[in-house]
Amino acid sequence: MMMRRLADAPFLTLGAVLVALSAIWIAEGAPISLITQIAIYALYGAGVNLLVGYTGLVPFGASVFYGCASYVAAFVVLGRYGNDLVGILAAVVFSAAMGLVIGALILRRRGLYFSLLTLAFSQIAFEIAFKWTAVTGGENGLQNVNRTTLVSDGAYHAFVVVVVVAAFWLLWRLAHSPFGRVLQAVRDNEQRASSLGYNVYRIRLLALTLTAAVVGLAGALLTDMLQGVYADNLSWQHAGDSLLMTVLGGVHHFLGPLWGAIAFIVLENRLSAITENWWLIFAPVLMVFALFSPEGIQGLAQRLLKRERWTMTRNTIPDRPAVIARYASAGAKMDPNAPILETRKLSKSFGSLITAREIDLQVRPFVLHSIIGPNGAGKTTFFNMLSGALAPTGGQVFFAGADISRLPMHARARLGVSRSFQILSVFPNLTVFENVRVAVQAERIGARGFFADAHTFGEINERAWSILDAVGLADQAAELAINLPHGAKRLLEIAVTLSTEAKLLLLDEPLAGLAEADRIVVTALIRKLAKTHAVLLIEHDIDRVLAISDRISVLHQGRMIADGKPADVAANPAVISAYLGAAEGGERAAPLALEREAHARAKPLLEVKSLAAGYAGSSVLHGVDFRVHEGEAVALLGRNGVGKTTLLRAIVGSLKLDAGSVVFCGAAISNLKPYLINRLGVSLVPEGRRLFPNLTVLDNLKLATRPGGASIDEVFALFPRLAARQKAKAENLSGGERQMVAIARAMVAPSKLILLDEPFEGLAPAVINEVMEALMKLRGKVAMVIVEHHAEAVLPIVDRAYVLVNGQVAYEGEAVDLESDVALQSRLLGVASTSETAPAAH
Amino acid sequence: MLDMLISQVVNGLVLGFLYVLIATGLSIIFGLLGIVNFAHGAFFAIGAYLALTLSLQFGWPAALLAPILTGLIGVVVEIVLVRRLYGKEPLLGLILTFALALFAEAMLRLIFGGAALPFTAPKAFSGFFEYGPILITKYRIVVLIVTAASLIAFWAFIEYTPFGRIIRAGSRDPEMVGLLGINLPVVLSGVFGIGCLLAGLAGMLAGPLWTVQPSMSAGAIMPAFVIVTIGGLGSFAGAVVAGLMVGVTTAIAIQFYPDWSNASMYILMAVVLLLRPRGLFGERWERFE
Repeated sequence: MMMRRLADAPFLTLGAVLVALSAIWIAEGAPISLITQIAIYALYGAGVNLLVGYTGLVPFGASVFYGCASYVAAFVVLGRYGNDLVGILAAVVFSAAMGLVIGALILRRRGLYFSLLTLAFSQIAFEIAFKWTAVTGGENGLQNVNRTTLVSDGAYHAFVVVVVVAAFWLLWRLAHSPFGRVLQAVRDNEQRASSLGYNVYRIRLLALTLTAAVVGLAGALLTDMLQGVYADNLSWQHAGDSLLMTVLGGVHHFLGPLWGAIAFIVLENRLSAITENWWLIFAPVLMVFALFSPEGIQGLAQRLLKRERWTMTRNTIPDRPAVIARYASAGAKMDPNAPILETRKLSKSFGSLITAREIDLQVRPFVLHSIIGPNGAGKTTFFNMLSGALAPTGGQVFFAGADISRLPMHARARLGVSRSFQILSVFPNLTVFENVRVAVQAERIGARGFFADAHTFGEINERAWSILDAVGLADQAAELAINLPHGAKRLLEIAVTLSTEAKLLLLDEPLAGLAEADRIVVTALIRKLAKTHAVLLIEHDIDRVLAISDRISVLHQGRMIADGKPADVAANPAVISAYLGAAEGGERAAPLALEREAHARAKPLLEVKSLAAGYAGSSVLHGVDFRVHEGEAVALLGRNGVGKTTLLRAIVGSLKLDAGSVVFCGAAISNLKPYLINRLGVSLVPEGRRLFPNLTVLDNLKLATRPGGASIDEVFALFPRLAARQKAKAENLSGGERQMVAIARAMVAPSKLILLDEPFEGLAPAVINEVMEALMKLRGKVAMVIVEHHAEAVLPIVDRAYVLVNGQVAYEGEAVDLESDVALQSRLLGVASTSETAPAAH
Repeated sequence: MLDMLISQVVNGLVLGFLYVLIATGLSIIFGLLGIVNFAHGAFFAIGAYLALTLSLQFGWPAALLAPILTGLIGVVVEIVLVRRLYGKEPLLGLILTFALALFAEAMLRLIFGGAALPFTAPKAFSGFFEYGPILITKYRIVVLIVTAASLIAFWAFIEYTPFGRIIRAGSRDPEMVGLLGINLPVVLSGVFGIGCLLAGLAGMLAGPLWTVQPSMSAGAIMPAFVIVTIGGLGSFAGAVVAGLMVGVTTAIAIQFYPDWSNASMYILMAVVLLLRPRGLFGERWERFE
């Protein structure tokens, strides 16, 4: 019980540790000021950790606040404007104001820029303090800053300990307050926090201001301890002190700064007695910790005790109510006859690339409305314009009758437009409950509240429980989101999306990366939610979309080509041709039958056996068997999102296998580095080409050239256009030229197998023919795997074909057989609804 | 007045070219490895100490080996330490290289003592050079020529050699470089070594201009950061322009506003960043935003 209370109130632990250290030092008769210093630096570190650990910003020069505040405290006393206590107060206020100004200037920059800019400010302050001798005393600093209130060292020490414990108590309250909880959400996922309606910039600015105030307090306490002030705390050697201590102690632990300060100051004190070069010993200690215990001293201790977890907040969630109230949708009262969302001539272009052309769309309440379309159709762009992540270049978006085209993302979220993300976007280091709670809070109280425990707001808790219950996650509420299985993360993603009093749910590929069992669960949930909300769904699992949707709109090359009931859309010839890629490229010579037989009898070159792979816990491929013979051309077909690219990535070694094996030329290559796999003869022509934009065509080719491959003259002969453009930078090439360079780049290395990922994507028909001809010439000389979602485009030029459906091989056989079986093609690749389950009635 | 200004501009160019050498190394390491190398100043100091030691032992031509040795030390550091940071949190990189910087400084202090050591330029380069109003030591002219020539050589190396091609490609898409059969870890060691070599070269040249002391690393790293920030991440042209701007600004400030000489570059940086947030020649690099 005692232990639990202590764990609940780490500031008491802090007090106990400081008192114990004081007792030891007094008993030894050593100067107490060392412990005063530890207390001050613990506070300094805690201020910095409010940014590093809680907000996810790394200031390398928080010393600017520490140093400047220490001068302010001295000025007040020396200028006789007040006593030492007034000096401390003035320093805190000054430092906070400085934090506000500096933050406003530099918080628009992120990452390393932010770190370096804070360091630069510290350096400016150092130069001023060092040179402006008349005011700052320059190199000698200022002395005789006498303490008038707390004269003896013992009294001052007691004062500092009390102030520091009180400050830690406030910080602990802050960490649990609505504002502190939001900080941690921003740290985990800035974009998500913003999409929930939080103004991330303002929140960070406030955090920096608070950090400046805390650090300023520490700086002022230091002045009064030394009864003087010196510039060296601002210098670059000391700028990082607080950060080093905090990392050493553990940034993800509330008391990390304390342990860091103790280790740093005691070691400095003891080592300086032995050698003036104490960094010789201390630096390696730091490096070892940085590399082998990134969670610091406390993290190491917890690892040894096998209780690894962050201790930035209490490890609890509010009690689960005996009866969880049924989830009530904010959209339940919408007028079913008026469209809740409407777009008029919505357009977007990036330079000359048009990704949305005058899209008119109406979404009605209580309707499950899906948007489908082949790769590159512009679905995600369209979503981004609806949610506010992208500004349209033309047209308007209306929500509940009001024009929201110019509103930022967080303002739209407040109106009830809520979006789930294609790539999982939850707050990984928060509990499942907290993920939802912080989202609910966004709607109710925002980031207001610095003192009350956020978990005591009953109404918000109840709402969070209702939402968790509605998606079926109430039992896992106390788990960290990062530890959830992939399917449950999806449910959480939807739960967070629901939390903002959503009326319209924009769901971006909610089934991506899910196994079949999870798909059934998530699909049922979407269906259920559509009864009380308007739902706009993007999804590649066409069979399911056709089965569950009330209405479907089809985008193709940025245009809406069909809009209506699932059955009508599936029968629409324009839609069928968009998916199956009806021959728009003209006549092509089919490979001779004779050649095909020869290849089938050749030795196997690549053998993939029961391969499973995915990304960060999601399973994309399961049990895939795949074979390519020497000199053979194989098509790897399948609709979007079925795992074609993932299979290529697994073969070339840029994605680790979860199970299964890859054998190339008789040798296992599953665990080799990508460059070694390439040297064995496997080349990739990746999706999006991935040329080096800053290199010329010639340099792009020379980079890949190895003896035994085609010469550059040979590839120029194959692609005469490239010879003319050889001096041009790759960033200035057209899409077709880029694709030619990407293919040529695979040829100049001695490849036995070339993997081409969507080689015709985004190319004009004439260019497709040109690329196609080049591939025809390559046939037989080298084995090829061509990934496509348009079967008709590639079947005539390949020997065999595989079709993937939801991460598994659904068809394997001769290309001619698949080519002639139109019904099979449309079942595996097209939009024809084959599922016997009729569209769910409602 | 004008004479003094011209002389100071020339001095500023000398300083600026030295800064450019240091900043260029910092910049290519950052561009390829994604590491902000706080220890870069330490390699500058190591270069100066090695040059001093070698020239005292074997005569001044031996000092020319100093940059190469510095580069080799860099390769070892990459293999032992820096390589473990790839793909980890940037915070750890900052901490590790910062600790490394202070470690190196303490090491120099242990071996050579904390006092400033005199390092006289070779006799052949002593004396002054006078041209109209310009009065400048011969050694500074030598430094100007050597730094400018090194930068041109480095530029040609990056632009025209196969290794340079890999560096340029790797700064945009390191994974794809690996997929083309290029052994990326070896390239990264090489790049770290080259960056350190440039710092060591600057250290060797700067030794006789300033005094050789352990704290000289701090005098190199901050200007290098400022220049990379002003010039724009990963831009060679940006580093050259920004380096010369910083050098000349500092030199003029030394002459006319000595109290502001060290702060002047930070003020320059603040102004540039307010006007052009990505720096003068900065391009958008998604890897780093």
